[in-house]
Amino acid sequence: MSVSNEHDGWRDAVATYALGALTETERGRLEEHLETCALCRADIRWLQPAAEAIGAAVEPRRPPGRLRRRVVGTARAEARPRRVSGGLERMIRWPALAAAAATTVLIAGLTVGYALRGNDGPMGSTVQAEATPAAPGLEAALVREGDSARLEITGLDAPGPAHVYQAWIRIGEEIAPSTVFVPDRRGRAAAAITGELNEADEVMVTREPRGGSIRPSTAPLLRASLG
Amino acid sequence: MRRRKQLSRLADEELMPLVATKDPDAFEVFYERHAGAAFSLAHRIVGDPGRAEDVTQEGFMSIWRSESGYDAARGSVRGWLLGVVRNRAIDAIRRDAARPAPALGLDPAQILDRRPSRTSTDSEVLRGETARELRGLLGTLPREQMQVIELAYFGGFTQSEIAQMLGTPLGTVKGRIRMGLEKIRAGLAEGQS
Repeated sequence: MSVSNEHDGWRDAVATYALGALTETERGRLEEHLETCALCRADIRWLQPAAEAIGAAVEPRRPPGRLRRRVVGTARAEARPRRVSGGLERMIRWPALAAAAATTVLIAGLTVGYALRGNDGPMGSTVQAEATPAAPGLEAALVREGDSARLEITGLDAPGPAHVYQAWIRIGEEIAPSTVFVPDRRGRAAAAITGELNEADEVMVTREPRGGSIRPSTAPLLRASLG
Repeated sequence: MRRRKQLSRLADEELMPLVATKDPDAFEVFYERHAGAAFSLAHRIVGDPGRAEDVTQEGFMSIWRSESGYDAARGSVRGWLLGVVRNRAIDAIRRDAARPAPALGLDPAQILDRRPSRTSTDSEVLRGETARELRGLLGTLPREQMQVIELAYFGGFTQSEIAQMLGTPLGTVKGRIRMGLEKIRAGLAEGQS
């Protein structure tokens, strides 16, 4: 079969590919073909603007202002990676908060929340996080896949415009700030945990002022133990 | 503020490398430039403003957190973003357990008629004009071509599902998609000339 004839055989698939309407198997087969067919690659480049035009042709709607605050605010908060060291007591700015944190630590073992359990699979592992008494309605799991990890949480209250949630990684007495995030309207969040987890003892989440904090300023709402 | 003003003068292709370096000012300019289009598309697909907000947020944050960044080979920046948002929106409606399977007699007209009300503002007039022009172009397509294209793009159905839904041979669906896209592409080329 000539190159041109072989290309003709893929023409319809190329158009459907540009539209994103192939099954995974069909897409895989075409992408394999694209590696060796410059004609099909050129065909896709030609049709791509047509597919884009369909999405750009919808009736305009103005996004609400709170969406901008959620998106841009989270990005600004995450753009400030910092690392600090020191004991937990030094992470807390005020005595009252230190007391609250200590209380949380003391009664963590008695928490009626979510039992810690490991759930290892071939591709990674999942650790159920434990909600503290400060946030008994939270459900969360830390999902690790290779070098990446994400914390999946449900039941979060809206933090309000002046606050965000922030994840922390504790290694011994050292606590490093990780991702800052806000939940969606249903109280769900999937926060990518940035930072070194191999030596970590636990991942925690606190509520922090907008922009995040260099050290926890409130008591943890949940903990995922890795030790 | 002054820096954001300078950034706002950059073309999308110049802005995206800065977004890839996690520059929040560049990301804010990127958001302001494309949030309207992204939200409009998300709303068109999921049909609910609240879910459209979630989908738009997911799309922008996935780009912000992405390690790979924008690749010019994927098309225009706006097209790339809309592709990301579209995929998220399709995932969202697929997660919706209430969505009936095509084999159960889904009426394609219900999907095609799921259009949002118009709420554009003065600031979006220019983009609205462009969208209107594009809609005019799409309006020139034969109905059967537009139907399969909308079911695929907005409904998230595969070509096989569309064939089953419409009771039409798969080859016919493929051909209609191909002819429809080629006609849109030719119309775009004419508009540029």
